[in-house]
Parts: sequence; structure tokens; C-alpha cells
Amino acid sequence: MENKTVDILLVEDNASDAELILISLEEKKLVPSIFMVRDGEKALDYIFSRGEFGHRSGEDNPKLILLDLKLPKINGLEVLSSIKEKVPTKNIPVVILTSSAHSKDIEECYRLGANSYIVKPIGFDEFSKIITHTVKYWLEINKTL
Amino acid sequence: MDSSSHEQKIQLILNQIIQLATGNLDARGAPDNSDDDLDGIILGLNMLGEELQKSRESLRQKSLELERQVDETQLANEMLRSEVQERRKAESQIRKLNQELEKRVEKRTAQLQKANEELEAFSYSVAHDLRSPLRSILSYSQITLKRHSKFLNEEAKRYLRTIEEKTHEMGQLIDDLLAFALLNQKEISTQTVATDKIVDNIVQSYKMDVRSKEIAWNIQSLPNIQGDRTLIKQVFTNLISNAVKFTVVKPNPMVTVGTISEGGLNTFFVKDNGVGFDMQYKDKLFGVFQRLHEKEQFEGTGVGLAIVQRIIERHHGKVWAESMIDQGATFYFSIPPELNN
Repeated sequence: MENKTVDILLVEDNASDAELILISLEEKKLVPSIFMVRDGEKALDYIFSRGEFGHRSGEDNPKLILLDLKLPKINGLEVLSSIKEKVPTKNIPVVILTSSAHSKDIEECYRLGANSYIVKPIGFDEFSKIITHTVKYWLEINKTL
Repeated sequence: MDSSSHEQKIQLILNQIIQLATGNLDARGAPDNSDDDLDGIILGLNMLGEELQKSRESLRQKSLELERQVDETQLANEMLRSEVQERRKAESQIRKLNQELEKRVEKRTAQLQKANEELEAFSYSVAHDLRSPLRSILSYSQITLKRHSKFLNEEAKRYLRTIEEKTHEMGQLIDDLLAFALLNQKEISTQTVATDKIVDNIVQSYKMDVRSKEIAWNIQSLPNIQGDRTLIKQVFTNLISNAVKFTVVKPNPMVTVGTISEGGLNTFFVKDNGVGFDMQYKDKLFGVFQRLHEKEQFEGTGVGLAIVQRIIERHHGKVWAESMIDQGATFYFSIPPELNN
């Protein structure tokens, strides 16, 4: 799986939130290839081709990273800052997808270089709309280096 | 008088002069009427002795006086020195006390800061940890209703819709509670607030809403006040939304917003002709999660008025209410003009 080019790296520890994202995309017939990791350490291992992802070539960076903030081991802010401070990864769009509408988090994420900050709504219709819009925008409309 | 006794007398006079000259001012001669001239000298010398004695006595007195003054000055100096020392001691004590006080203030500030941070972490957890499972409950109920509708009988659908509704309610509750908790941490930024504009904005949105279009609005001219604009807006939003909520259910609903001016202090009021409340519960009105009406009849989490009270408290103002059951309610608040945070 990790040898294939991945469209979206989904960093999410909550299995049902992850499933809701997949259901949302499936309903809108969107089929990006998604690789999911459930903690911050795995996310960094994947992005920087370390540990179990050591054989991954640095060429096939994901086109989009959906990043939760509250994660086991290494939290989302640390993952974000590691991605954004290194040359080979800093241009990958990172969209923060979190339950926190805390102004301190929003401020810190943009300071660290997040490309977008989205607060997950509770209701499915809204959630689904936001997820599909986001994925369409970053994979189809937005132009990256 | 013979010459020998004359010489003797002169000798006596010379003696007296020498005595006087060497400081024996008691030396006196005795005239013997033998020679007027010599007796005159003796009398003169006697007077001189008297005078010198007087002068010496007065000098002695003066020097004694001087000595006394010197002693006094020394004593005063001594006292002054010890006073200066005491004052220095007191100053160093004050310095020490000040330092201790500063340390205590620092410690207390650190404790408060820690408590604040803990509260913030708590709010953060509440927001994140409670909302995540809610999203699962709500979303899966909605997806089940949408995708598997044909397998569900009416009862099952109703249950799922109830789950949906109650989950929404809980989400609202969490949001309100969070807003209430964060209110204490927010810094008040004082500025001139045009309350007439704020109220007009709120009222316009109700005029466009079909659910509240029956309401007759009576908006009086409202003064500018000093306060935090966002928070003052929240106060009017909550009071007006309450007025609307408890009035639309009655015929000819009417909401009035105005002020009463008393001694330079503006008291704002929001008055309705709705269902009102029993004045015996007026103290419970502003409690968090406190409701005076059944949930099925009037929606809401019971946080609105608690938020109003907290905002007014943070502006050092007052808020209170008057009502009678079925006769409508009036909510009043006032904020002192010079706000010193």
C-alpha cells in the first residue's frame, strides 16, 4: 500500500470519525487513495519515511494531509510543525480537522503554517459537506508545487 | 599719721591690688580714716573687687548655661541619631515585608495562573472529548435513517429521530457551558458601545424570521455606553431571545427595549408580555442550567441568563428582573459609567 502514490494522508485516532470521512467521500463518489495512521508518531514515520515506512521513497508525498490535533504519542501541533519546518515536506497542504474551536489552537496552527483549519461539526450532513468540499478543493482545485 | 604707718598702708593696698590681679576677688581693704586719699583708694579697690566678683559670677553663670546648652544639644543629637537608626531599622523591615508580600503575590499569581490553565485544559477536553462521541452518535443515527430507512418501522425511525434531537441538544449544552466557562477568562476591552445599533441588528433578524414575525417591537432610543462590545451584544441577544421565546406563544406578543435614566445612570430594560415567571423564583433565574419552564414547552439549556449575569458582573453592574405569571417579564441591567477594570 505505501509504495503506491497516496492522495490523502489521514491522521486520525478516532475510528468512527475516520469512517465518517470515508462514508462522506463515498456518498459523493469521490475515490481518492487514502492512507490512515492513528497517532502522531506513525504520521511522522510515514511522512519522513522512517521506521516501518523506511522503504517509502520521498518522491511520493501525499497531496493532502488531514490532521487531527489531539493524537496519541505526538500531538497534531508537533506533527504540523515538523512537516512545515522541513524543505521536502513543507509544501504539502495540511488541513487541520479537529473538534477544538479554541482560538489558541487556531492561532498556533496558522503560526506553524497550517493551510486550513476546520472544526468538525456534530451533524453528519454538515460534516459530509465540509469533508467533500475540502477534499475536492485541495485535490482538484488548488495547485501545489 | 607717721610715715611708717603710711607705708604700711600703701603696702596693704599693693597687697590688695596683687590679690585682686591674681584672681583673689575677695581681697578687701579696711579704711582707717588715717588718710583720706589712701582710704579712697581702698574703697575704690573694694568696689572694684565687688564688681569683678559680680562679673565673674555672671560669667560663671553664662558658662554654666552654655555648658547646659552643649549638653542639651548633645542629648538631642544622640536622640536624633537613635531615631535615625530606628527609622533605618523600620525601613529595612518594611523592605523585608514588601519583599515577602511580593513573593506571596507572585506565588498566588502563579497559583491562579495554574488554575486558569487547568480550567482552559478542562474546557479544551470538554470541547474535544465530549463532542467526538456526540458526532458519532448523531452521525450514525442520521446515516442509519438515511441509508436503512426501508428496513426500519415507524417506531424505530422515531427512536432514531429522538436520538438525533437529544444529541443536538447535548451539543448545544456543551457549547453553552464552554462559552460560559471561557467568559471568565476573556479580557474585557472597554470601548464606546452603540447599543441602539446592536439592538436594531438583533431585532431585524427576528423580523425576518417567520417564527417571530407576529411580534410587535417597541424600540426606544438607546444611549451609548462604555463596555465590551461583543459581551454587551451577548447580553442583549440573550435577553431579547428570551423575551421572544416566552412571548410568541401568547396572542399579540410585544417586546419593548428601552432605558430609564436615574442620577446619570442608565438602566436598560427588555420587557415582554409573555408567560412571565413566579417572583418567588427570581433568585434562581440567573443560575447555570436553571430553568423555570418545562423543556418540552420552551427550548433552551438554561445558560443564557447565567451568561448575562456573569457579563454584567464583569462590568461591575447589576441585573435583575420583575414579573408576574402570565403578565410578562421585564429584565433590567445597569453598568456604571466609568468602568475601571
